[in-house]
Amino acid sequence: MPEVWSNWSGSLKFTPGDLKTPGSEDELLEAVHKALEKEQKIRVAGAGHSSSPLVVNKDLVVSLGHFKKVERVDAEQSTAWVGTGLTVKEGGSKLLEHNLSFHNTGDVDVQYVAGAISTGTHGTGITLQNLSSMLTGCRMLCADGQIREFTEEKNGKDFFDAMRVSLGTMGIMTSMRLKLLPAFKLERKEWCTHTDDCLDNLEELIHENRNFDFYWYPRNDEVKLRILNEPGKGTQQIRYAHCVEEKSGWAIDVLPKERDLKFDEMEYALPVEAGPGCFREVRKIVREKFRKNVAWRVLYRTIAGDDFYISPCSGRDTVTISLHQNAGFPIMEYFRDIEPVFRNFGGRPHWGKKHTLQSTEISSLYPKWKYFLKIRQQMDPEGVFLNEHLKKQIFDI
Amino acid sequence: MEKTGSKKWIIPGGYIPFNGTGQEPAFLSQDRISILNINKDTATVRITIFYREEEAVEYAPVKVKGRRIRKIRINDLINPFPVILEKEYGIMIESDEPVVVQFIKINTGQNSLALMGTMAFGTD
Repeated sequence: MPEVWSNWSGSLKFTPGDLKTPGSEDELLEAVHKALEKEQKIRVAGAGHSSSPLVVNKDLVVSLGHFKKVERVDAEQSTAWVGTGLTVKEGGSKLLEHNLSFHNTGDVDVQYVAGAISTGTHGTGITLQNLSSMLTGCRMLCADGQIREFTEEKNGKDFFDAMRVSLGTMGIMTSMRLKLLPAFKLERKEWCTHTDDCLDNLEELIHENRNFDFYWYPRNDEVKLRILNEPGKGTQQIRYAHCVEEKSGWAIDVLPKERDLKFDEMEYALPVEAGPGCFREVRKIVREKFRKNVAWRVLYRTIAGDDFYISPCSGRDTVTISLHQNAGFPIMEYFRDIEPVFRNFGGRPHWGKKHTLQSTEISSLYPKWKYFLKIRQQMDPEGVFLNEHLKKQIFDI
Repeated sequence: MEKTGSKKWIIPGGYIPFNGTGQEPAFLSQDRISILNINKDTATVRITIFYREEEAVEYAPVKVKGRRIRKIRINDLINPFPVILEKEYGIMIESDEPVVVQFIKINTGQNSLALMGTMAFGTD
């Protein structure tokens, strides 16, 4: 009897028709061929950190947790082929053995790298694109049951601009070629100050530092500024804030934080110039209406724009604002009330987090939406890799 | 030498107003505890919040180093759940080392600042 599958926060639970954890590509092929024969739908589960129903499937759910190899390392080009079952933490550690590094990570490193790439997951830094920008090749089990290798040189930029953020709807990637950086070190400094001082100096903080974000604490109107730079670079002193934490080391060890408190999250990606105004509006509403029950912080980050068809950062430098609430607490009244504010400021929802948008609303946010759908249709004409959520709420096909 | 303080402290009268006036955090309506550990050893302190209707909530332990104070704003407790504002509650503080606990309330809901501090009830 298949087990109940639950995401990290516990807000998403379902029982798949079948749950397979193949140990090899041959075992994966066998499971997929059986599903294709039965005309079943197939979805891939990652680490389960996402809280949107991308993985929910009444047919076959595949976990690639055994696909953890790092191979074909090219030190000169700083590329490597990375198994899609590696978490960001595991991948970062293995790549460090080859003196390579991801350019960035999210706030946590528990996600599978493949899941983070497919959903446009990101860290912070106005010059740094989201994690999907690393993808330049992949080995993929396609909808016809064949494994093929795709690279940007062979298949073209347009194809990869569709592939990078594709929500696992093109096929099942077993390995990814990633464009990396030579391993590097970072210094993390965290500072506490009042929100008004942060907002007064926001542009400077964003542009002076490699990685900058801030947490706003709704219950006391203070913020924590989180700044990471290569040693000796960036903002060193902040006259209006006091330093509460310092840490240095390899980027992969310093970029992510550890979180033991589980939460659910809504995040929207906005044009960078809309960030401060949107944040002020969110802050006002939370203070006036929600902080009786909401104590979790709001996170403000920046990301460089990209060309990827359905990346939330497509075509514009971006600010993301994310709401958090304790797992197990009611969340949707809070999230639903703030969501229109994000929408009014031109926001696009994070694919892996809570949102209530329907296809007509989502498609209007992405100028290249139709191009994405066309390439996806070519890759998966029968919709093998679509669940009900993707088919109805996201793509309306 | 006998250590000073108690290992269990009780505060029955918690209530954090929703409204406040003035710039935060200085003028935030809040309940706060100050924990003083005048002994040498670090104290591990557990806070449990009791409500009128709901189940009690036990919070993640915090450390208070020897010969140090630690101030905790009840508004900021979050793990596993936030303390709900505008709701009556009581506090139990349990420590593995003797400590001394003071309870402070600030209500800035009115234009004139109101502040009150009192000793918690200590017991072993």
